[in-house]
Amino acid sequence: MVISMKEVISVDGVWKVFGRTVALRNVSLKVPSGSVFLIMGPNGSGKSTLLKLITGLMKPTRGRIKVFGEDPWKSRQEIFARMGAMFEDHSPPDWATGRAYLEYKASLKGVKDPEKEALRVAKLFKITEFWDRSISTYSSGMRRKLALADAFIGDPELIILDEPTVALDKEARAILRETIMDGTKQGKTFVIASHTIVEFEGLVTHLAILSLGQVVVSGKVEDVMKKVGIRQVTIKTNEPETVASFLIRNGYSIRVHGNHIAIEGLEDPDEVMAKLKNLGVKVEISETRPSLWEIYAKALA
Amino acid sequence: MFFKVFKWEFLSGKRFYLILLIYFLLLFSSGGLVSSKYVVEVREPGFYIKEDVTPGRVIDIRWHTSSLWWFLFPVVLAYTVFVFSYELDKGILRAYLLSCVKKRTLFIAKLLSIILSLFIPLAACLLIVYALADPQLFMVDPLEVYVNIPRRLLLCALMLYTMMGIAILSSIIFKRPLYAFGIPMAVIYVLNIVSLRGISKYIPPRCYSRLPYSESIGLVPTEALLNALRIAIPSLIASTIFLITAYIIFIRRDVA
Repeated sequence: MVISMKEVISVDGVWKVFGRTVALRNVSLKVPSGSVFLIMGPNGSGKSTLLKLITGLMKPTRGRIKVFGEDPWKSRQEIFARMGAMFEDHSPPDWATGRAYLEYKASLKGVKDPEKEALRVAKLFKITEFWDRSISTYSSGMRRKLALADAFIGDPELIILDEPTVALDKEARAILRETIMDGTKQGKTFVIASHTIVEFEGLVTHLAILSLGQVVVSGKVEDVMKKVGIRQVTIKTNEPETVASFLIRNGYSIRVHGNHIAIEGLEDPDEVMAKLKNLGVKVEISETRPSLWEIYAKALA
Repeated sequence: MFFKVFKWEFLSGKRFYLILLIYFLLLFSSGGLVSSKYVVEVREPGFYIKEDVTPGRVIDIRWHTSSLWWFLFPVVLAYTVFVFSYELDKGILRAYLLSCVKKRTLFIAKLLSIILSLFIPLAACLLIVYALADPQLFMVDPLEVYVNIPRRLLLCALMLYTMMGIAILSSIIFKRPLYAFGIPMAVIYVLNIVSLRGISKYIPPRCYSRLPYSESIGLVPTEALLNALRIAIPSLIASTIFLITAYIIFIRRDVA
């Protein structure tokens, strides 16, 4: 499948002010089609507010947002025919059953056969075991699974997920990861705001880091790494202790995992190789992608 | 789309509250009104009679404006707050809006479901209470028992509408359900107790006039009925303004 990298979401100079609190200030970013776009930032950095603006639940104080070329505040109902979303504090009505709620939401999305579609998403996130019970009896993890199923109703092209892994068990996290992987193969776009990012390592193609309502850095992960100034050199060796002690003596910051040693910082692989030549130990050097946490920490440092 | 939303709003989850309302209304009515008062004293300047009337008529006489209003206003407000404020507070509104439903559709469906959820139990309650009040007449001529029901329902519907405006506006303005319920209750009751004219004219509406003791008039447009409707006009206009204000706030406000 040929994936067009056309922008699905465009946020241009957006401000959101609540009374005296500026939640977002001059935020601009673009989410290309088919990408897995991760929004990271500390608590109160404006991640959820940004997602609420994108989903048309809130109106920006200033600036412009376009989703599929439409203003989400004015055309929310049209956009949601192609979009699904869940929020951290997603709260379906307590008095309904999971099944009734999903069927109702499927009908609100204009799905031809709401019952069939509700069953499909329920099976996807394995909630059929308890979905005939009243939502008031659900645990927080069950509610999260229901919210996830809700977001995938109608097989949307764009899925917005705010803290999707909170309260999820390991199996559900794996299902979510697999679903995102399958979705990207089909050209779907995912926008995820999350603190727990281990699940998304290797999936994320684009990144935006927010702090105090501002975008610190955004773009393709590789571009973000360049902007942030972070590189990682990984050395494979049969004598990790010798190499590690040599590197420490030479002032490198390292992490050792078995036979692999990762050097953090701005090191040039060729330069490191040249130094290790004199040590007389057989090594293989390559440049690897640092973890999302490392990029995040570096960006906010 | 509207029918789907309305069906969900009207049928789902609120049955318990409907039953509670019917039960409460029934108790209120039967406890206070179904008694053996068959003789009514009528005193006017230079005029005094003792008249035998049926218990059904007693209900008509005693269910005058204030008693019904004093009971209904908290019920209308509580129910409206539950449907609007409670759901807004719990984020259920957001869960609904993450779909193709329009805010306008949701508002109108909620409004209609509130009106019907309050009106249907009230109508049911009146049908039960009238029959209970005069079982002998009911057995012989049920139509005679229910002859004043149409007028009663029309006036009740008008009264509900006038209360709905302030109830919905309050539910939309105050995000905390306790405030949404408590503040208008306190304000309206206090202003009525101190007989502030402006508010008293609005609530309670003067559209629930007494019926003549000895006449069965149904919905025949008598002068009394027309007067009652005319007096209700300012209340109806005020309520409509409140509803439009609530609608505009609901449509334009962020769903945080």
